[in-house]
Amino acid sequence: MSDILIEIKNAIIDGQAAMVMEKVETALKQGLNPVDILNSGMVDAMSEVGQSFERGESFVPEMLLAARAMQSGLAILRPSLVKVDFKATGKVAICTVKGDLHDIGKNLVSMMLEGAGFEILDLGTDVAPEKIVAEVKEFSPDIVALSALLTTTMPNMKATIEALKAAGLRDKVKVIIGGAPVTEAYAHQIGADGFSPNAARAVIVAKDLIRKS
Amino acid sequence: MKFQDRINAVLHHANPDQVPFAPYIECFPSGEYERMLRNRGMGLVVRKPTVWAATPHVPVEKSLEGDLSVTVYHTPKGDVRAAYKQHAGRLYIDEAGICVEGLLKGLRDYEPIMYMIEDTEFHVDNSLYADTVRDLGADGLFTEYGCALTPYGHTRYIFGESSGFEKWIFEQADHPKEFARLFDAIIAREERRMQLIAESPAEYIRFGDIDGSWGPDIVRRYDLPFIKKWIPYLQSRGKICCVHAHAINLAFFKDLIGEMGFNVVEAFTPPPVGNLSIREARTAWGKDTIIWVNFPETVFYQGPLAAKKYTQELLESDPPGNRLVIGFTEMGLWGASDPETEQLFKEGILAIADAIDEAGKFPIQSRDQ
Repeated sequence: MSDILIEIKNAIIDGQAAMVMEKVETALKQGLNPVDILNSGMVDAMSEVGQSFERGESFVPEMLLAARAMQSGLAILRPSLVKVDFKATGKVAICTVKGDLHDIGKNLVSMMLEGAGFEILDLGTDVAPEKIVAEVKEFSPDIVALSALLTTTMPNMKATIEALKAAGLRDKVKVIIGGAPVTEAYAHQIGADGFSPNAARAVIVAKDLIRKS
Repeated sequence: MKFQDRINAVLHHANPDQVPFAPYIECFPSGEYERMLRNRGMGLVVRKPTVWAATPHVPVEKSLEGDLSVTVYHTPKGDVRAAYKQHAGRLYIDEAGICVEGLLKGLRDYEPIMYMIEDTEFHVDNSLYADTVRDLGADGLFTEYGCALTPYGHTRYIFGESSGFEKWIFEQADHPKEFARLFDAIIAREERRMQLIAESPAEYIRFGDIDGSWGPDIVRRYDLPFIKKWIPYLQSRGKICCVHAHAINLAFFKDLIGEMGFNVVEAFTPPPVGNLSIREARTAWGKDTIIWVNFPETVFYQGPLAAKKYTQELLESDPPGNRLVIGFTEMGLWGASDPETEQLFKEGILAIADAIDEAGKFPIQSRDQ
């Protein structure tokens, strides 16, 4: 890997947004392929941050700072990616379920997925099943990601899956769920396609679902 | 034993007749269901402060802007404002609302906020304590709640609870000097509060939390010196100190909690929601630390039989059970808004009570025995 890509990667891991912007500009000027800058410099960095999070060596602040640095770099890189007709890894519609206003986890998952090359459609918080169905019809995401912090709003994950079934959309979209009280057993129980205990794992689960689809 | 005798036996290192079942009072709607469980020995935990804060030289102006409740603080260093969304769903109907705009939004807000912190005066009012203790009788436990946040935890709330979380993180990276000044001012203010809490008639003190969002290194840097200073002092005044350890990644904080010196680790949420089992925690913290379980309500979705089996296994994982409490510190029935969920949770909670009756009598036998 070239020195500049290593510098971009390290700057993202360290959460140095200004440094990432500067290094991405330099890499483009040096004529590096924007897809290589994204995959080898930026996506790899976020993957490393995710692994560190899973090991309990870094936490939400480190992840947020890295995600912000990644987004700063992406803002510089995006026009070049458009020129080479870069395709996103997949499209994810994400929200907190009806009754749940807590969005720290949802936002973190969005940032990590974006950092892994996914296109994100953020539907916001407190989103009713019928609204999610309408968005799936309109935007055709590959994955719907549902988040809940409150144990008592978890049934709205099940209600959303049932609404997708009723609308004839269930086989057109994968559903992953997560949030502090959510467990793998619950995901199986309600017929979700995937479960993630944290934002880092969400990327692995989402990539796995895209690969299998 | 009455509930109060039972919980006091645990808190004072004696032997209870059985593991206490003690949720926060907010986790149950008062009325028939709660009364029935209290008749079966359940107690209630009430959290209130005895020390109150005021900023006498900061006029406050409140207004409504649509569905936002807005508070503007006029300080000689400038104005700052916070906004709370009213009627923000069932959970917030009876509260002030959900914070959508914290006090600290930019560099210009530091000086007014510093002024407010330094202007803060504390006064003691034990009437809530006296009234609560009288009202609960033998059915509950009063928790002094005035120091539920550590100084670092206070800095987060200045940015606006959940809505300001990202700003709070970024501000620490972008303006470390300003943040350090803010933190030092809060430390000085909280030192004054702690001195008064040490004189409170309340014996049981909730002191800070382990959130799990930020890591042990940050807790060590910001909170540990304050905690290590005040816990021995509070304990020397006869207080029982509890940390609200509601992090679901508590395994990463296991050693740190062991260093802190708390008597009680409450809000302990075991697997499958948390990542630290009672057995592992007991090994790390020793036989005298009281583990106060926050029952993971997610188990209720598997039905009451599963909830009962889960509780029995929980109890049997910590023999002889004289330093163990089971409760709800996060949700319980609070917020169960549809009849199906409410019924499922009520059946699950009854299953916990049944399991404690059958498997929670002291001394609990180990599963291996």
